[in-house]
Amino acid sequence: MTAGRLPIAGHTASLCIAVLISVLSLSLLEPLMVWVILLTLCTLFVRISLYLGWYQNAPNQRTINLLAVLSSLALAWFSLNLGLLFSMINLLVVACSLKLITLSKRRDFLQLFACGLFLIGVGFIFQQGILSALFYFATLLFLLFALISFYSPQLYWKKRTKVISYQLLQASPIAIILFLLLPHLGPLWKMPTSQSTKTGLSERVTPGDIANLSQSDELVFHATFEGRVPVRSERYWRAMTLEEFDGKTWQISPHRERFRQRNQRVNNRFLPALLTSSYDYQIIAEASGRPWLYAIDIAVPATSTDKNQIWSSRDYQLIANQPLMSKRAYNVRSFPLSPLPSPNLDLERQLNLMVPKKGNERTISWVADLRSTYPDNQQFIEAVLAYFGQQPFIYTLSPPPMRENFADTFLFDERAGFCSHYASAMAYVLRLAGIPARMVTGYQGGERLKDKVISVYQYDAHAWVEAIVSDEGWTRFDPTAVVAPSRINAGLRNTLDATGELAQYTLFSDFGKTGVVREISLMFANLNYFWSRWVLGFDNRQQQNLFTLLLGNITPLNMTLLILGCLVAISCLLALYFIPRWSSKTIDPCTRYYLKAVSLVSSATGIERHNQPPLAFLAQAEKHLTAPANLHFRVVTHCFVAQQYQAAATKDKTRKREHLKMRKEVNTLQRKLKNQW
Amino acid sequence: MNARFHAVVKALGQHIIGKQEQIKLAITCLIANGHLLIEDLPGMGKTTLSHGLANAFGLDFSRIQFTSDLLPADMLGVNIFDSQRHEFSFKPGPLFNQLVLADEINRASPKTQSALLEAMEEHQISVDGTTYSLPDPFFVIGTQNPSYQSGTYPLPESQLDRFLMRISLGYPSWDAEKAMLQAGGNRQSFAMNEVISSADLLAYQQDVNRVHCSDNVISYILRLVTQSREEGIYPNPLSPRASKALLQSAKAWAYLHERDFVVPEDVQAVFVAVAEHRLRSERDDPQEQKVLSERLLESVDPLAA
Repeated sequence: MTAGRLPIAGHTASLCIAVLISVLSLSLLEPLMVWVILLTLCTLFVRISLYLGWYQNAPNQRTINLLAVLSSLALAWFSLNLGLLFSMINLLVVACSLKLITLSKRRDFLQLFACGLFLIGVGFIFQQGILSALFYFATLLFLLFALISFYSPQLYWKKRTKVISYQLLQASPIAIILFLLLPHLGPLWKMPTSQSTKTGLSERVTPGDIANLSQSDELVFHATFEGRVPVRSERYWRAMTLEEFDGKTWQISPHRERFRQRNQRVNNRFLPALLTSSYDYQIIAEASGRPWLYAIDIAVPATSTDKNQIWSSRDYQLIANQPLMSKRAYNVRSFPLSPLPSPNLDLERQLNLMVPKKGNERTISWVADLRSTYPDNQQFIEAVLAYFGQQPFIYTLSPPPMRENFADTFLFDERAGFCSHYASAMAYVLRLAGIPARMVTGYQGGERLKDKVISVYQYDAHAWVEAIVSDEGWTRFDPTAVVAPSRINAGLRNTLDATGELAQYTLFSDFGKTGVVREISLMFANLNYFWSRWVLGFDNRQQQNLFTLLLGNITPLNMTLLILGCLVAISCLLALYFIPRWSSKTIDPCTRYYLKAVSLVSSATGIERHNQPPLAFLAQAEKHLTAPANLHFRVVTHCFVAQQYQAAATKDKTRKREHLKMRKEVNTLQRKLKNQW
Repeated sequence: MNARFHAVVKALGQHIIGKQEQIKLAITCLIANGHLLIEDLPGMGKTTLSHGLANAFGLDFSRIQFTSDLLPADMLGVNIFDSQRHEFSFKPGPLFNQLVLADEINRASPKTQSALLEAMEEHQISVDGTTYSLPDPFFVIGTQNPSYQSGTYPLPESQLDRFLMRISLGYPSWDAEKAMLQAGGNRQSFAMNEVISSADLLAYQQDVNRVHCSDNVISYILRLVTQSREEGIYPNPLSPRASKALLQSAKAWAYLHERDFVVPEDVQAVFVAVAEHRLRSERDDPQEQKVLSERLLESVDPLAA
C-alpha cells in the first residue's frame, strides 16, 4: 500500500470498478463501434480472471502501449465517419478499458473512478428518461460503493451504506442549488444523425405499398397548455407537408427544401400576420432523430430562444436546427386560422398541381366527369368527400396491398385503407381536377393525461389533405373523418373497437382490460410527464420565471446578489462539512495546559509532537531546551502524566491545586522560552 | 528498573550482546504470564536467550525440537503399562516443565502445533481421558524460522494470537558481534546463576495485576485497536484478545520499570512485539510487515480525549 500498489487477485474494489466501467460503456451502446465493445468485454474478462486468480500477471506495459497505439490508429481512421462527439466517446471508452487492464496502483483506481463519473455524464447525452436516470443513479451508487471499499475494504456494509448516504445527503443541497441557478447551456457539439435509429413519421409516404401499418404505443410528445385546450377534433398536429407526388409516393418537395435553405441562409423569416386568439403551450418531444417538430397550425415559436433554434417554414412546418436526438422542450403559440394564408400563391399552385402523366385511367376519366358536373372548386371537393361517404369505404389498418394504379384500385376496387390512403387518393383526385392539393402528415387527437396535458402516441399518427379552394390560402380536408368519424372524434382505439379489428393489435390489449395494469401505466405516464416537464424541461425560461419569483424583477444588481448568495450558500455548506468539529466534550484543563506547553515548546524548538506520548516527547525536547525552560516543561509533563495516568486523586481540591500549579508552570515556561530567544 | 530485573538483563546481556530491548521484552512477557514467540533466522541466539531465561529465573527447562514427524504424544507423555503393578502409569513428556522451549515450532505438523497451543492456553493436558495440570509457572518459548523458508508449516493467525509477544533478535551490531567473538563464543560459559526464584516470579506476576491503568490509557488502547479495525489497511485487525494482551504487557512493562501505573509509553514500548504478529498476514511481503504496527502507532494520538 505504501508504494500505492494494489493487490491483484481477490481485490474486490478493482473488480467492482471493472464491472461498473464495462456496464457504463455498454449502456452507451449507440455511439460505440463493435470493436470497442469487444475490447471492453475482453478487459472485463481479463479483470475477472485476475480476480479469480486464473492467472496472476496482468499484461505488461508494453503490450498495453501497443494496444493503445493500435486503438488510436483505428479510432483516427474511423473518426472521419463518426464525427467528433462519437469519436471522443469511443476514445474515452477505449482509454478506460486499457486503463482497466493495467489497473495496479491507487492512482489508476482513482482515475478510473473519475472516468466512471464522466461516463455517467456522457450517458445523459443520449438518454434522459426517468428510467435511465434511475439506472445512472444506481451506477453512481455502485461507483461510490466501489470507492469506499477501495479505501476501507474491512468496513461493514452497514457502515459503508451509512457513509455513502451521509455524503449523498450532504451533496444534494449543493446539487439542487447548482441545478436551479446555473445557466443552462445548450449542447456544444453537433449530434451526428447518420447512425441514429429514426422513429416516428417517415419522410416518404407510399400508401399502396403498406399492407399493414405498424403501430406502436411509444410516446411522441406531451403538450402542456397554458390556457384553454382545443377539442379533440381540432387537434391536428402538423409535422410535415408533403408536396411532391410521383403517382405512388408522397414526399417533401425538393424545390421547397431549396427555398427553405436559401431563406435560412439569408435569414428571411416567415412572419404571417396573426391576429386571432391563440393557444399557448409547451411541447416536450421525445427523441425522433429528425428535425420536424409538432404543432397545431399556425404555429410560431413563443420564446426568443425557441425562435433562434426553430425555423418556421413557409409551409407551416416547424423545423429544429438539430434533429431531436434527445428529449426537447419548446414553447409554441398557435393561431387556429382557416384557411391558412399562402405566402406565395403562384409558386404553391405550381408545386401542387403536378401529377404523373401515366396510370390510373379510371380515376382520370371519373374526375373529368365529376369536374364537368361541379365546375366550382368547393362543390367539387364536397362531391369527392360525399363519394367517400356514400360508397362502401372501410377504415382498416390492414388493407390489401395496391401496388399498381393505386388510385384506381383504392377508389373503385378495394375501398379499404387508413388515413394515408384516403389523404393520398383525395389529394391526387383534387390535383387531377386542377385544384392545388397536398398531403400533410402529423398526429391527430392525443389523450388527455391531465387537465391541461395531452399525450400523443405513435398510434395517433395521421395524414390529411390541404387544398387551395379560393385565393385566400390552404384549407384542410380530412377524408378519414368522412369514412370513420370516430377516428377523429374518439381516437384510433375506439375506431378499431367498432370495426372489430382491435384484437389484432396487441398494443391495445392491455388497455381497459385490467384495471391495475391501466392504473400502473397511467401512473408511469404521469411520472414520466412530471420528469420531462420539471426536470428535463427546466430550461432558461423556467429559470427566468424562478428568478422573477425569487427577486421580484430581474436587475443586474439583483442577479449579482443572487449569484453571490448562492456561492456563499454553497461555501457555507462545504465549510460546515469540512471544518473539523469542535468536540462537544470540553477538554479537561490538565490536557489543555499540557497541550499549550507542547505548542510553546514546538514553536520554540521546531520539534512537533507527532502523536508521541508525553514522556517520549519530553525526552526528545529536552536536548533542545535551555535548562530553565527544560525544568518547567519537565514539571508540566510530569504533572500531566501523574494526573492522567496515576491512580486517581479523587479530591477536587487537590486536582484544582494541581491545575493551578500547571498553569503557573506553563506561564513561567512561556517567559523562559521568550528569554531563550 | 528493579535491581533484580536489572541483574537478569545484565546477566543475559553477556550472552546475547547488544539486544537489551529484546531481553527486556522477553522478561516482560514472563512476568505478564504470557508465552513468547521468537522469530528469526537460524543461529541468531534464539535458543541461547531461552536457556538464559530459564536459568536466570530458576525454572525447570526442557527443550522440544520440532520436526515434521513429531507427534503430540512425544510432547505430552504416554501411558505405559507397568507389568509389576498391572496398571497403566502416566509417563509425563517434556511439556511438564516450567519453561518449555519449542524450537522451530513451524517445522512440526499442524496437529502437533495445535496440541502444544492447546496446552499453552489451558495450562493442562488430557491423555486418555485423564487431565494433568502443568506446572506453575508455565511458559512456552516458541521459536520459528521466517515462514518463507522451506519445510515450514506457518502458524495460522488463530494460533499466533496465543503468543503474547513476538520478538525477533536480528543481526547483532559490528561491535556486539566482535565482543562475542573475542569472548570465545563458548557454550561452557553459558552456565548462569539463578537470579530470581520461580516463587518470586509468581509473586511478581501477582504484582503486575495490581499495576494501575487509568481510563486514559485504556481509551488509548481502545483507539489503537479500533483504528486497526476501521482503517482497512490492516489485513487482520486486532482482536479483543489482542487488546487484553496489550494491557497486560503494558502493565508488566510499567512494573519492570518500577512504576505502579501505566503510561502511554509503556503501551508503545510493547506494541510492536504484541501487535505485529497479529496484524500482519502471512501472505504479505515480509519486507513490508514491519511497518504495520508502527504505522498504527503513528496514526493514533495517545492524548486525544
